[in-house]
Formats: sequence, C-alpha cells, structure tokens
Amino acid sequence: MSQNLGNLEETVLLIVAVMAEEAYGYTVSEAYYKHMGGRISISAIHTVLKRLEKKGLIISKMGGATAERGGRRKRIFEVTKIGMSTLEHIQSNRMKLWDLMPKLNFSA
Amino acid sequence: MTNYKNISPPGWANRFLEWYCADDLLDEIQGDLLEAFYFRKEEVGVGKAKWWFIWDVLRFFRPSSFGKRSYNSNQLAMLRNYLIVSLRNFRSHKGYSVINLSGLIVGITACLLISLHVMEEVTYDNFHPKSDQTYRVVMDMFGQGELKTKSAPVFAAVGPNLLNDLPEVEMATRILPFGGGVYSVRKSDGTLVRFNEEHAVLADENFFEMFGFELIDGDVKNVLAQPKQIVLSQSAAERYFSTENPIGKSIFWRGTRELKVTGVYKDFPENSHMKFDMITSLKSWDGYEEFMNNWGWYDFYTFVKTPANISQKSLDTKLEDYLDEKKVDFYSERNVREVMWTQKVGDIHLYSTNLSWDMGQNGGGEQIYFLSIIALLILVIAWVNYVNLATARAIKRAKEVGIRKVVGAAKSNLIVQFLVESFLYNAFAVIISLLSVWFLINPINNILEISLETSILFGSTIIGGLLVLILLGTLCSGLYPAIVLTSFKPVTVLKGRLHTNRRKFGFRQVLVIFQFTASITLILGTFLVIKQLAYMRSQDMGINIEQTLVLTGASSGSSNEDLEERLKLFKTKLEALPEVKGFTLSNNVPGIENFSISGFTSKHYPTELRDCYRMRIDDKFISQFEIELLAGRSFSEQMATDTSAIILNKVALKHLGFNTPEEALGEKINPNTERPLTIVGVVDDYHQATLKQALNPVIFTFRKDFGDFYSIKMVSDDYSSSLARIEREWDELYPDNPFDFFFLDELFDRQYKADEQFNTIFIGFAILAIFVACLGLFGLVSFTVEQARKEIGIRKVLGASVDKLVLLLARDYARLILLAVVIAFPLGYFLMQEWLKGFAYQTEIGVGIFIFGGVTISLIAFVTVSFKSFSAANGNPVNALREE
Repeated sequence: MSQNLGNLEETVLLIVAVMAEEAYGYTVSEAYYKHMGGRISISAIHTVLKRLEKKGLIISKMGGATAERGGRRKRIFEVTKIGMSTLEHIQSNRMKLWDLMPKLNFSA
Repeated sequence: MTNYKNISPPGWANRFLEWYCADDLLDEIQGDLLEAFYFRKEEVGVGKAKWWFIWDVLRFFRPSSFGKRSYNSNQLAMLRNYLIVSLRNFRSHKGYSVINLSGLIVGITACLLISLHVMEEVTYDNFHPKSDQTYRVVMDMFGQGELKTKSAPVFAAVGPNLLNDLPEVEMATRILPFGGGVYSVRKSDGTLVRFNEEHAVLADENFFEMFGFELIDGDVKNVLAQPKQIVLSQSAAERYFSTENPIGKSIFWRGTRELKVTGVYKDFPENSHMKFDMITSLKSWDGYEEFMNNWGWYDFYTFVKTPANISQKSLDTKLEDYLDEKKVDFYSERNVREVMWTQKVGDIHLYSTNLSWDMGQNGGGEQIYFLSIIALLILVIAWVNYVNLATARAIKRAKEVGIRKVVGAAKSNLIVQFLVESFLYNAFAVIISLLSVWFLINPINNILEISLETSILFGSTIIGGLLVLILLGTLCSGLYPAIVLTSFKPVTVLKGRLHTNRRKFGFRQVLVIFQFTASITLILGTFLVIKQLAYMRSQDMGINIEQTLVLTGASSGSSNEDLEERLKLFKTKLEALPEVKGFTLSNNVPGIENFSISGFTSKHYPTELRDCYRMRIDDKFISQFEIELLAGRSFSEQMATDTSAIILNKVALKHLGFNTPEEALGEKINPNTERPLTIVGVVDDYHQATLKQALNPVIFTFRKDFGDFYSIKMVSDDYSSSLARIEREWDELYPDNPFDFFFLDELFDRQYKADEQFNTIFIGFAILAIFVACLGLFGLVSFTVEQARKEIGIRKVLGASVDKLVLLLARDYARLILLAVVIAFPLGYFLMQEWLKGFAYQTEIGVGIFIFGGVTISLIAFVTVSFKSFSAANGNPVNALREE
C-alpha cells in the first residue's frame, strides 16, 4: 500500500464509507461526534476530506441546495474503489496483528 | 415569536467569511456552517450556537480557504522581494545588523521595564470600589500658630462623627494599627504555633465594603461585626493553621485575648499601600464605646467615601474647620489648632509625603514623571541610533538603490522597501525585548528587591502599546533613511561619487554629544553614590553595635507581672552562659525608627514644648553599647529615685537650652508639672538611623525589667551553637512567645538598602547610557569612515601611516567627547550637590571622581572609534580607490 493514512484520515474515510445518508462536511462532523464521542471542527473535517480526495480515496460531486444551508450547495463525498480496498487492507493488517496477540489465560 | 435577527448567525462573522472565502469554496464552507448553525441552535441554544459559528468562521480563516485570487500580483511579489533582500542584507552584514538590532533591543527592553514599574506605581489602590470617591482623612497640627506635624491618623471620634454630621460622607472606616505582638494557636496535639506579627491592625466592621480586598471565606458584612473577631490573610492562615480550615478556630493575642477567626482574605495585592496580615474587629478594643467622643487619641487611619457628585474640594472645605467647633475649649486653652484635609486613596502611594505615622513606603510621584521621561528618551535615542546606522549603511547600499531606480523603481517603491526593512527590525526587536523582559524580571526583582509583575506585561495596555511602538518605530526610524536613500541620483551613485562634508557639524554630532553628556553625568553619579555609601559606613556611629544579638521582647503572658518575673529569670539564666557578656533592655535599638516623641519643657523653655525622642532603657544600656558619658552617671538599680531620672544626649541638651553638660546636671525637665524629671547624666550623640539623617534630641528614661528588645552582647567562636543555647533557654521560659532575633549590625546595615538599590539602578542606567552612546558614536564613525574611504586611500598612497590616519579620524570625535565633558562636568557637579543635600552627613565630591569619570569615558570612546577607524586605515588603498 502506497498511501499512508493518518488516524483521523482513516476514521473519516471509514465514516464516509459507512454513512447511509449523504456525506458532506456537516453530516460527517456530526457522524464523527456520534460515533467517536469527541468533537472536531468542521474546518478540520474539510481539510481531511480534501486530503482524502487528493489521495484518490474519495470522490466528490456538488449536490443540491437546501434552505437550512442558506441556499448553498453541498459537496457530497463517496468512497472510491481504492478507498474501499485501502480500508479493507488496513483492517486485514490489523486482524493479522490481533491474531498474533498472545492469548494468556489467567483463570487457569 | 423570536425575531429573525436572533436566530440567524452573527452577520459580521458571516460577511467576514464571505469576504475571505474563495467563491468556489463558498458553497461547501458557508453551506456547512449555516446548516450546522441551523441544527445546533436547536440543540445547544442560540447563544452558544452563535459563538460556535464565530469560532468555525475563524477556524476556516486560512490560506486554503482564500483560493488563488491575488497571488501573482506584482505588489505582493515585490513585497516578497523586499523581505528576501532585507533578510539577505541582514545575513551578509551580520556584525552591523546585530549591533543595530541590539541597540533597539536594549532601548525597548529598558523602556518596557520602566513602563512596567511606572504602570505598577500609578495603579496603586485603584481596585477599591469607587476608588475615585474614597479618601483618607488626615490632619495638620498647629501649635502657637506654627505647623508642628502633619499626621496621617486622626482622632477616634472623627470617623463616626463625620458620618453623622456631613452629608458628604456616606461611609467611614477606621483602622487602628495596634494589633501587633504575639499571636498563638493551640494545635490539637497540644503544640503551640506562635509568631510575632507586625502588620496586624484593628478595623471597623465595614472594612471589606470600603476596600476592594477580596474575602475568600466569610461574609463581608459580618466578619468584623462583633468583638473578638479576627480575619486572617491567606498566608497568615497557612502560617497558623497550615491546611486546616481556620474558620471558627481560636487564636490568642498576646497569650490572653482569645479571638475567633471569622474569615480569610486573599493577601493584599502588591499595589496596595496597606499590607495587613491580620485584622481584628475594632469592637474588640476595650473602651470602644467611648471612641465616639474621643477627640484626643489620634492613632486612627480614617477612610471615607463620598457620593458621586461631591468633589474633594467641597469635602475639604467642610473638613477644614470641622474640628474647631468640636474642640473649641481645648484649642483656646492651649493655643493649638488641628485642620483636617483629605487624600484620594489612589494618591496616597505616590503623593503622600511628609506625613508622620504614615502607612507604607509612600512618595516618589516626581520620580515617576522622571522615569517616564527617561523611558521615552531611551527609546528615542535607540531609534535615532538606528537611523544613524541605517543611513551609514545606505551609502554602501547606494548601488542597490541606483540599480533599482534604473530598472524602474519609483520613489514610493523604494520607500516601501526601507519601511519594510525597518518594520522587520522593529518587530523583531520588540519580540526579543518582550522575551528578555520576561527573563530579566526575576533577576531584577531579586537584585533590587522590588516586585515587578509579568502579568501586566501581557496585559492589553502593554501589548497594545507595543503594537503602536512597532508602527511608530517603523515610521520614525524608517522614513529618514528611506528618504535619504531614495534621493540619491542614480547616475552619481552608480559612478561611485557620493560625498557629504565630513566635518559638518550636523544632527548626528549633536546627538553624540548629548549621549555622551548623559553617560558622563551618570558615571560621575555612580562614583559619587559609591563614595557616599562608603563614607557613611566608615563614620563613627558613637555606639558599638558589633556582636550584638537582639531578641524581640516577649509580649505574650498572663499579666505584666508574669512577663516581668519571667524576664528577670531569663536574664539571670542568660548571664550565666559563658558567651554572654552583657544583657540589656530597651524599647528601641539603633536601626529601627523611633516613633515615640513628646514635648518637654525646661527652665530655658518654661512654656514652650520642645519635641524630643524618648528612649526607655535599663541601667546597662549605656555601658553595654559603649555610649560615651559626658557628664553625670548612667541609671542605677540602687537609686530608688531613678524612676524620675533622665539622661539627655548632646542634641537634646542644646535643644532644651543648656550650654554645657555639667550645667544641666541636677536640673529639672518639665519643672512646673506634677512629675518633674531630674537630669542625672548627659551622653554623647549616637546614630539611631543612618548618616542620611541628622542627629535627633533624645531623652532617656529608666525602665528595668521590661523592654521591647533584649540586646545580648556575645563573644563566641561558634555563633550558631551559642544561638541554639539561647534559644533553648528562651523556649523553656517562653513557650508562648516566638523566638525572633537579629544581629544588630546586620539590621543597621539594612537601612542602606534603599541607597544601595539606588546605586544599582544608577549603575544599570550608566551602563545602558554608555552602551547606547557607544552605538551612536559607532554609527557616526561608520558613517564618516564610509565616506572618507577615498580620502584615507589617497593619504595612504601618499605615505600616511596607520597611526596618523587613526589619529586623524579620532581627532574629530575627540572634539565631540571633549565638548560633552565640558557640558557634563558642571552639570554633574550641580546634580551631585543636589543629591547630597538629602544626607545629613556628606562626603566630599572631590576631583578624583571627575578625573576617573573623564578617563573612563575617554577610554571607552577611543576603543569605539578605533574599532572602526583601524580597519579603515589598515585596509588596502587599492580597494578604496579602484571603484570609479
């Protein structure tokens, strides 16, 4: 894997992948709060999304405008194939490591 | 229905976002933020959502949001070029740049430090509620139509009566400074915690409403409302109760009076003229009920607050004759008068001078003006030096300017370039200065024993001031070089012909003379301060205070008899110790200001009261301190009549009208009163305080078995173990009194602290002035040498030696220094004389100081000049001459 993903990048990528509704700045930030507990600012989310897009892990298109947004359009993100495989790759690497975890049993 | 404005995000933040955000990014960024606001206001409330929105807008304020609008503008590119060129210039002439920068840094640092001090001084007591309408009532005391004393405290009755009688007074608080002595607390394990408290007072119950001191624990209205209540400062509470909660606990004053702790206050801030460790309710004082009508006892600091529409003047008018009515009989009988007036609480620290029994170290208002002017002067000089050096550099950079012009730079471009450069210098210097102040504050506080606080440093005033300073500095110090540089004609410059008259007597020369005059004056002053201090220390004190250990007398006991008994026992026990050569009791010792002063009459002054200081001593005092007896004898325990005997010192002798010591013996003092005193001896004068003060008339009275101080003459090889032995004896006899001691010679020497501080500050300023003056001189030399390179080259080619050339260059400056010396010597002499007037005993100014000062400054100046001119004279003339 050529791409190095930071912790936050990986989390955001994962969130975009699992989100059922449209993924854009505000919804991603809310989903982050919902799933991870902590808050990060929308500007930080934007930066991460932009970086992920640059790396080709997600792709964006402009979506529709709503009244809540003051008539502004959304930039909606979707995970690309590379993004998906990157996630899977990370996951399988992790699992391999977990399998190596010595299984100690203190109760015996 | 909420109105629309309230539910939309703050307009200015939104507009700000629209302003900086690139258009193509506006959709996603603004959209997301608006949507977030829309949902958040339901979730967390409108107010919080607004703050959140503002925060988000600020977070988005970064280059990635700006888009690529104006990056390739010519203006910006040039600005970048200026920055690069400035930095390159800095790097390629490190020596010059560092010198130039350090001049600015030193100037700004000094200016900052002084400003900190000034700000601290002018903000004294500004934290009290309505501090503008809070006054202290003080009074002038007249006798026989003549001003006798200005008194800071007034009569017990003044406070409550003013409150009753005058509509101008809406609140009055009295402070009685008599809470000193031993305080002790019995711990649960039976041990006794005990300390001598100096800063303990009694105060009216509204103390914490009158002043802005912060109560941490306890109720503002009730902490001092009842008798036997005491409020402690945080540090006092820690001292007695460590981590326990002191509220409701008992603390004993002088062993017998039980007080209940009702509150704890935050230690008084540094900028308060009052510093109290503990405050007892005034109602605890025996006879509090009579205070209302007590127009005789004047130990009460009295503070009043007026309604907003009352001026100090109208209050003072009411106060002026207020006492005349109350004390009419007393005044006419004695031919005396007392006139009250007020001081603003905020003015006490700086402007309350010449008041007797004042609280705190006050005065120095003029000093603050003086310091502010110095600070400004230092700054201006630093800037001028920068200008000097920068213009000197300009000649070297003339070619750069020429090329820029030829390539098409307008004059304005060049000015901007030099302003950018001076901005960089100033901004950098300010930042470094801030840092150095931050690091210097602690050492400076330690050396000068003052307390500058860093908290002000990052307050809005200083930071704002610094920003203004950077801008002002940029303009002041950048504009002149910029204009000079840009006025060069490109053709002349590129041809390498650029001359001004070296011997012209211009602004720079005047500046150097001014700087050196200041430096020389300061150097002279430094030498004089050192000399005067040494002189005062070397004088005969008239008293031997060596090897004397002084204990603070015990004040905690069940009764006066108990204290006397124990003291007798303690005395016998101590005298049995081999290292103790003497033990004497007195109510004061040299080095501590004597406050007890009374009027006495004699046969030469039968009606007029002559003020003399009073000392109560025992029979050993005079012999133990080796005070010379001029006539008569010392007190004696054997003489029963000595309770009404007195001893005079020489000044008192003259003061009371006697001519010779012998004549006074057997005479009476206060002859026509019920209790006349007989003069049994006359002693030579000795210095109670430093030689700064003149000798005072002193009358000694006899008091055995009692004393505020116990002086022990010791001869020992091992003081620490002797001290331990004495402490053991003390603890055995005085478990309820703390063992507080000091060595008398050390205490006495501490009186010179203020003068030593002054000396340190002086030396600091002198070094600073010399440094700055050398920078100025250096700038001037560089400037001239730079211009005279060709001249030097030609002279060298024609056979001039290096020495001759250096001398030739130095001659110009020698004139300047000489002129500075001519101005500085009389000026210095005058100032030195003025300063010496503050001392009763003055050293000779002497020629030595002038010679030494003149030589020092000449050497420093010569080194500075030759630094540059040697390198110029040593250079290969070819280098200077081939440029044509």
